[in-house]
Amino acid sequence: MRMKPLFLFYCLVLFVFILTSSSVFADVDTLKRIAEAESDVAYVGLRLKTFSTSSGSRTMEEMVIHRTVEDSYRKVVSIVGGPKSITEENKPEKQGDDNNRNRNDRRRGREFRWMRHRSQFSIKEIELIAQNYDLELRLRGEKFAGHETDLLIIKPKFTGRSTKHIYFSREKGVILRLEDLDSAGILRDMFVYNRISFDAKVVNNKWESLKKEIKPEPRSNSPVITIAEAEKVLKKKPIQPKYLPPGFQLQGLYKLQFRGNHPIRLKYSDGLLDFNLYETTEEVRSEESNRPNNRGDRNRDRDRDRPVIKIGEISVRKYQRGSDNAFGWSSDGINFFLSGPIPVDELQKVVESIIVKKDTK
Amino acid sequence: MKHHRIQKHLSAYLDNELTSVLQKQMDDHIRVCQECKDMLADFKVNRELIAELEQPAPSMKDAVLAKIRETENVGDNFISTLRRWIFRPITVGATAFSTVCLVVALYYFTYSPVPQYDELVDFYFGVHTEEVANNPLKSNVVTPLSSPETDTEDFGEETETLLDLYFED
Repeated sequence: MRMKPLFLFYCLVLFVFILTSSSVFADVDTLKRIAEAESDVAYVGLRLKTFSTSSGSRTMEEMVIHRTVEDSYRKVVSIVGGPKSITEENKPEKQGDDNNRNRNDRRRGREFRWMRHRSQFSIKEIELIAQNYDLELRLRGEKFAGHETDLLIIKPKFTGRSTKHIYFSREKGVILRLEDLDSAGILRDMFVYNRISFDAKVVNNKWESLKKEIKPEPRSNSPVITIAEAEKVLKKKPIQPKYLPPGFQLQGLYKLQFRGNHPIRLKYSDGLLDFNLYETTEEVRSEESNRPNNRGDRNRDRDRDRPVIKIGEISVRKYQRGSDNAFGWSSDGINFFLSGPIPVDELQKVVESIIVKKDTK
Repeated sequence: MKHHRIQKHLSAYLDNELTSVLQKQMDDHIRVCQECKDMLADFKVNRELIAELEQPAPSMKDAVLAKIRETENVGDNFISTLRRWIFRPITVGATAFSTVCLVVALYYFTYSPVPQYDELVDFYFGVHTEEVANNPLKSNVVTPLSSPETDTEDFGEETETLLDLYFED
């Protein structure tokens, strides 16, 4: 009789555990189901995609065809509005017009063509998401493009991370609406399908009519390598940061190729967010070399104005592109570049841990 | 007739420009006077020598044609000299070497296997953007938006940069 209250307590704990764990695991399973559907389910559809920044939003209409993992492409068919639509009165007119014209010239030819829609989902990343984020499944029944959806919310356990709202087809599992909210809970990026078909016949017919105009690009060659292989490439041990923001892990090492250079990429992830450390010991021409300018020069010009900070004896240049913060520096014959959509102070701690680690060696 | 008067008319006598009376008097005198006969003979010899030396004056047409021919000859000479110079082994070698240098320099400045630092930075940003753009289970937004009122200087640039990255190869 003495054991009864204790037994009841254990039963209660077990019951609560089973209840909560089944719900958590169910949500991880939901995430896995979504990831599988994005690879396995064939579809063709039109979606609206919107980027938002401090300075305005851009929306584009995009066609997506996904037949198999190999035959998966997207193409922007129209861009809604231009920079002028944000606010005209705040812009220096002439210069703004010239900049936009130059930018549009550079971008033309790249935007309205088919690009490979490489869906890359790994079980390890899904597990990391489950580890670092709270998953909440809401059975909503809201319809998008004529299909009933459920909502999976991915909420961060750590402060300063983003949140994701995934509205996926209840029947097929494919994402029909996706919302990315920044650390302040503001909606930043989203896409929503306004038309989609899962009918295999429709997808195949569309594929047959489109495949002539789709010119498959060669796949980027960045094989996964081991630390020992990375050491062979660099001819010295790759340097890893001592400090990682909470929840981040080394996800993989890759050997990249850019012209004659073979940088090593160390990819760190918390599942949802990635940051990358690039290291190369091969020759890189200095920024001041007299090369003819072409596309990307606007960004490069902006990069040159970026501040240089001192960490120990090392000069480190800070960059910012879109949502990515980055740091670039050289030491001991290695060119380092650290970048990712991580708050700048967090990223700087990673840089400091690399430089300090090397100094104390 | 005195000698000096005869000798004065010798040239006209040879040209048959004298009056018939004077001509007769000259004939009679030269027949008997050895000195004047010799002088006349000298005159004749000189005349023939001068006639041999004399060229007919060229016409304007002949002069122009001659000049053209002369120029053509100079041009032909120049071309043949140039041709000979161009096809000399040393010239061919130097030209080939210069061409190779030019091609290498162009290749170096436009497509060098050694990347420029800026290009490498673009490449690094592109690697990440490509992955995020194609993976709906990835996120690229963390930093909260700043107020548009505080960021009017670079208005629209950030949005355009995002678009550029989205369209990046």
